[in-house]
Amino acid sequence: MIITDLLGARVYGPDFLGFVSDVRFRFDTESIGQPARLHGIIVSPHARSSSLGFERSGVRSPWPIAALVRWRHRGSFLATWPDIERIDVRQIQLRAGFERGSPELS
Amino acid sequence: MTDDDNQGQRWLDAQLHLLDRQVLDVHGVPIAVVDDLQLSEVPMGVEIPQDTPPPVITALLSGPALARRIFGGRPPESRMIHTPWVAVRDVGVVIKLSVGRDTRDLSWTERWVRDHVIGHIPGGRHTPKGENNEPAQSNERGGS
Amino acid sequence: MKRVFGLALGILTAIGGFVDIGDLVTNAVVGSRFGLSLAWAVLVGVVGICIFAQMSGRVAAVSGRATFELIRERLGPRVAVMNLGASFLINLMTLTAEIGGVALALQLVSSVNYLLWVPFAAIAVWLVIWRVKFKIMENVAGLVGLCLIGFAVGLFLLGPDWNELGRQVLQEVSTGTEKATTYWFYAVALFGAAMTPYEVFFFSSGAVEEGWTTKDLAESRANVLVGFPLGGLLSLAIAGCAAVVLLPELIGVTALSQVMLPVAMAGGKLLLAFIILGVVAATAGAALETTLSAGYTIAQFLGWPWGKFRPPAQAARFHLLMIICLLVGIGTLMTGVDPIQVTEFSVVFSAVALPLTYLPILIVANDPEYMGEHVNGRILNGAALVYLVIILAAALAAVPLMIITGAGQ
Repeated sequence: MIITDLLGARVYGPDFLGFVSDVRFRFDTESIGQPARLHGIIVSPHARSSSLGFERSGVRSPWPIAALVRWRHRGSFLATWPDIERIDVRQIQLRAGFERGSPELS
Repeated sequence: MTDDDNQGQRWLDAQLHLLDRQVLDVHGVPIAVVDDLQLSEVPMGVEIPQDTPPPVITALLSGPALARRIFGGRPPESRMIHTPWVAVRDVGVVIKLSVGRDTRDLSWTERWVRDHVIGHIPGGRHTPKGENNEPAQSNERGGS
Repeated sequence: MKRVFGLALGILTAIGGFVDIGDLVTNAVVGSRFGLSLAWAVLVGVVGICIFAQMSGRVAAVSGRATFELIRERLGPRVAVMNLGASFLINLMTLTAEIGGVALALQLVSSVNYLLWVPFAAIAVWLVIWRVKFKIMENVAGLVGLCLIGFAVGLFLLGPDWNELGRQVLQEVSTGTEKATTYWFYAVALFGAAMTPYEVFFFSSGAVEEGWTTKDLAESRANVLVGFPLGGLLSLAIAGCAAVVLLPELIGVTALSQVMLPVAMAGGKLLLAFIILGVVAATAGAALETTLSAGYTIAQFLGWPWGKFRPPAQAARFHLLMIICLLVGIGTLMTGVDPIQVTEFSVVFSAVALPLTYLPILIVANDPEYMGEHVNGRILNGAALVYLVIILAAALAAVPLMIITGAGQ
């Protein structure tokens, strides 16, 4: 599977939740070549992609742009791998009772 | 981005930290830009059993995917250059590999142009004349 | 002396941006029709480019990333491709015009036809890119280009009425037949000339070529604060000369020789020769800057190895691309097209490229992942945000104004 298959895919819980605006991976250690495991997907209710990331990092400058991006991605949340029930072409189904994690990094 | 929490974890977001990033080989020479990521297989179209381990990144992909990311559509994965994830040494402002460029099949266009055009023009293989040349440290800089 | 050479990158970038062949003529046109009443547009442009070149130089020094690399990383490939398309066309048109400009200047001093000088000029530019070290190129082109100071000398020698010039600066003046839309078209054109994106592409890539690091931040700032105001001053001197000599007589500017007329009157053959040397160096410098920018933007977008610090064999596609660009330039000029007219259309593409270039610089200059502790301070951010609005306004106004006024007729 390649990542652009996931990015921008529609995400459903019981209802339509949003789009996959990014995919988060996790390493366990700092060594070379450690596997990067898929930790979860960032779901953004209104936007299909997020390359600036102001809604996830703590960066607030420059303030109008950061504010605009954060507004555009308001309501974004992180859905972790265990909560993903099903992956179809351009569509992801989350399990019942999924948790909305914070999309913030660190 | 490089904040570790107590257990020594790092988080990487595909769009923020990996896609569209420059890849440098072990000597700091640019190889390609990451256009896509290859993940290990997951069951598609069926319910994923509860304890299935998550997919991992198997390779960085570079190549014709650019047109696809701009316009949509899907080029064959086989036409793209695969940089195995195990070759990645560091992810920062740029992605640094632990292998050298020539050991990869990465830059055949670069080699072709070098061998068939540039190499034939006099002076092509020399560093430009002048005082002490400060060589390519610059492209290696970057990262926190 | 070494300190002076250390400023050559900024000076060359500014000269190639502010007083390339297109702007030389535009400044003279403006002076002959509006006097110095558009001086404020040059000033606004100078402050703007100082702000953004400072940021892009700092980003390049701290993170090692040149500006076009950032555009793709931070805004994504779609936006970057739009910018790339516009910027590449600007670069191609401008380098064509500059080669033509060098040929025009050489025609002025010899009796050899301009079309014969065109291939010679292009080959000379290519040889410098191929073999001459970046530092030597910037020192020679930048400092010889400063001969354009002759325009300022000429202005003094003309013994103008300084009060009159001062009055022009402070209020709108025209020859009575000029419309307000034409005035604003030239205001946008002068602003756009000061802030052309290839200036920051060249400056930031030059910073990487020179190997600037965090230790060189002061040098980077000095380059900006000396180079660009100097470029602005040269612009104003050219306009001033035209204002003093051509405006009262209502002489229009259509050729390079008319740009030089005031100087010839003021200082005779010696000063004229000095100026022509400056014009050749400045247009050659601009040709180098735009050709290299064409190479930098494409190579950085696609991730190719780039840079004059590498032997051409190790940056083969980068060099081949620039050779092709120069060939296209020669071919275009040989069809007889007026090189100065060519630059007028690049205003259109600047309108697209301006905001898409400066927004990522501002964003990255605030990003601790790239900059560590060297992120922007609040005052700089404030000024940059104001300018982002001005840039957007200019970008939106450029094309309509161009159409309404027929590119300043």
